[in-house]
Amino acid sequence: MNIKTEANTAHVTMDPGERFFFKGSHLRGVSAFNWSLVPPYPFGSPIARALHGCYFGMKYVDADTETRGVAITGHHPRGSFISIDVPPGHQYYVNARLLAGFSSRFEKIHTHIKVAPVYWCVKKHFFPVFTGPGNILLYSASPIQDSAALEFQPERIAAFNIQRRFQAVPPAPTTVASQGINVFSRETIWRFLDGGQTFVESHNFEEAHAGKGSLGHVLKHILLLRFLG
Amino acid sequence: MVVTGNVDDTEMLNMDTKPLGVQEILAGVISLVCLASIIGLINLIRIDLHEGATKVPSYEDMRKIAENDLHTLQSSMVSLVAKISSLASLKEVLTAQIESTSVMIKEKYPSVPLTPKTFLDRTYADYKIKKPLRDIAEAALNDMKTRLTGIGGEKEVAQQELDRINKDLSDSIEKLRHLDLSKGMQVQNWLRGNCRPIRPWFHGSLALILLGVFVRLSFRLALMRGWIKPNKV
Repeated sequence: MNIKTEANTAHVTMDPGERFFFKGSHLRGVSAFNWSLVPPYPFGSPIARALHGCYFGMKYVDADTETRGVAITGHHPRGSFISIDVPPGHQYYVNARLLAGFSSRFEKIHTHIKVAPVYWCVKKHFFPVFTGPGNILLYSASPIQDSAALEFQPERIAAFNIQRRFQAVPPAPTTVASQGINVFSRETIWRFLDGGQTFVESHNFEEAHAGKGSLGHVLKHILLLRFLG
Repeated sequence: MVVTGNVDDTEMLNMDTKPLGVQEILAGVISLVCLASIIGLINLIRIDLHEGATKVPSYEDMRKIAENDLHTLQSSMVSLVAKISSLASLKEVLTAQIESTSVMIKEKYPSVPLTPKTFLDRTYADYKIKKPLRDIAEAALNDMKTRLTGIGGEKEVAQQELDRINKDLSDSIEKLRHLDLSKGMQVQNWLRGNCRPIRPWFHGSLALILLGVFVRLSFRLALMRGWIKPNKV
């Protein structure tokens, strides 16, 4: 299987006998697909996938006897696709919100539920994990990049190998006023202790547009940025 | 700044030995203040619950108080009846009336003790304790006065005795009213001073809010000092 991504388009080429599942909304204009009545991997993170529209009503394309290619286009003009080739035996966490499709060769999909203190700090407890071999296709309204950096906002993380250890750390402001605000802030930084590839969004689209124009948002800017920032 | 490569474990361990910053001191001080406030509030709630449960008179206690008042009235009536023994029917009428009044008092004051859970019932209990006691006693006495005015016999003797009965009854009513009001005011003042219904709820809510602030700041402090261990997904 070969997946080529270029900004807002992705071209999935399947070898004979392979199958690829797509999130329904990404297959507009593609007519040769099949409806998946039974969800693929029905016991693999069903709640997270159902919440983000990639459990029920998924569509799939089969390459029965010959190589077959499917080109798809994202529904956001500045969106981008990225593919992850998960080697056999490797396990990758994938943000279900960004999941656009996956191949049928995965050994299993399941959810890791974590309640240790560090997970409370990053406000995440449920992690959909894909066990290779297989291919994952992610889509975001903002560009997704493959980064070698170690520190990220938790909301921006799209996928990574779960063998990497991580630590939650607070921001390190320099001014006294910012340090005072930081005590009451909820912002944390996801810091990997081991090197490796991390697939991250350039910015969190949902977060960037949440609460804009609300009274609380305006007051926060006036109070924190104008007087204390 | 973009950090790449591996993070040395010793760097994480050394976070515990680095000097305290402004934000860490601030978080620690506020956490301790919150913790001290929570302990103080829990103590106040404990006092509210404990003393509230032991000091508030129960319905049973107030029923006994009402019965004592009625017994005082009964003694007064018996002495009056002894003075007018020539009027035979009066004794039976008075005795029956007093007995029925006692039964009515017992029915009006059921023996349901207050529990610490029923703080909001105390104002209602105050109302139930004070007002019926006065109402019942006054109604009983007024009824007896009405009956006594219709008793026959030698007109002059009966009239004299009835005048004395009326006078004594008026004195008894005044005495009962005075005693009843003072007891009611005592209960009411005690309730207002020591057992305001809003207090435990207010203290409890404040303690919960402070607990939330304490947990959040403690987590933040732990995060700043690197006390939260690394983990894997």
